[in-house]
Amino acid sequence: MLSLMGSSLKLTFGNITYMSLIDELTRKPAVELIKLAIAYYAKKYGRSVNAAVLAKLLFFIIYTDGTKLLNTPRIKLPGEFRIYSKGPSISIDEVLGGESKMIEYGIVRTGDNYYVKGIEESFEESYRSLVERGLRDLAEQAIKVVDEYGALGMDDLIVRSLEALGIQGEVIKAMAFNMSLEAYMDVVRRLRSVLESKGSIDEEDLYPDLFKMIG
Amino acid sequence: MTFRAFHVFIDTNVLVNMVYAITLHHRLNRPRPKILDLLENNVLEIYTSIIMVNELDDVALPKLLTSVDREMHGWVNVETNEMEEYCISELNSLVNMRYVRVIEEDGSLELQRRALKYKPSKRVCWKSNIMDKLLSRIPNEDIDVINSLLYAYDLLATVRRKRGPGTISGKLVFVTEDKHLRNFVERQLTCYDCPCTSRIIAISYKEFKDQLRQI
Repeated sequence: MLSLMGSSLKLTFGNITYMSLIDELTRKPAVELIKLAIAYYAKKYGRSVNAAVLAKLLFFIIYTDGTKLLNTPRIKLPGEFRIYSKGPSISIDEVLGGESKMIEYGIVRTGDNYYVKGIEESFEESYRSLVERGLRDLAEQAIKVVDEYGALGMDDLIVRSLEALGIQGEVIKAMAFNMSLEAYMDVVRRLRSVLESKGSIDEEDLYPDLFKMIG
Repeated sequence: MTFRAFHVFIDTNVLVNMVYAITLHHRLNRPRPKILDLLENNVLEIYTSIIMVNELDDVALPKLLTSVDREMHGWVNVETNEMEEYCISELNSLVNMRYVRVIEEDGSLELQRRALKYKPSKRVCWKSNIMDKLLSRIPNEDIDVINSLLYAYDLLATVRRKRGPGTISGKLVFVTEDKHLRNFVERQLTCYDCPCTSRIIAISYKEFKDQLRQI
């Protein structure tokens, strides 16, 4: 018998299904994290949190130390952040696994906003659940991010998330449009090593007679 | 489709220089151009149109090969038509490796192309009244180029929302060395009250490389 720490679900090797394991390892922590963020946001600011704002908060929680990008995300989500003109974005519904799942977790969505039933209990339960999974740092980071970024307007969140990604200006934003966030992080690493490589030379320096404006 | 690398749309005058620089490296042992590293490391995906490719074959490549300083570029002992064959075969191999992607043909854009074909109203621009006005102002030889540019915009810089109606749209980077075309894109393609306004950013090759160095 394998009992995942603190989880209500007990998995037996004999009847364990692959999907339930995936669910247990990625979906559940993600749901608890989102629940914690919604509950703490409601506790602190006394209102439900907008989906777009929540997506940005999740980005800061999982991918940054508050301002700068981490080398690897703190957890793996069952969904993918994408980069759009307004910064990184993810479908919260998709991460949660759909409406019926939300009801199960006690998360309520009205229009574009998320709320939890029983703010204080939800907060404590999800915090405890993350700690039991060995994710105390993640829970603390969530609280820190909601404290620091929760009160900001959408425009500020967009600017700061793009800054964290190192995306400055419209040209880079356009070149990165509709990239998955993790692909972007890998590409930036590869770009740095290509630019630093001594094995190749910029073609515009090799052939300055060619790479110039015409007309 | 989600991009796994940075992406730009390039004009014939840039494609031809790029192909030429890579050919010189592969066939004549000239220094390795940085662009090849960027492509081979999947940092960058280059998109272009069949219009650009045809123009390269018919006009741009023969013109380049007869005008460059062969001695300076290290191929004084190679016949022009032989060099032309080398370049064409290099371009083919870049397309086969999918380092250069032709928007009308590339497999990854199939779904997007089909969506636009069956629902042309999904296109951001190309509204007949606006385009009639625009097209009357550009030189004949540029009509195809502008057409492919707008098509590229719709294919590369818009994403249909998974849930709910509408599209998420970004901007498209168009790399060109043609001053007139650039002016046209910057000044005329910003038709009044049209969704296409400022959606396409035209930059030179040098500016494009500078942007990569800023990330």
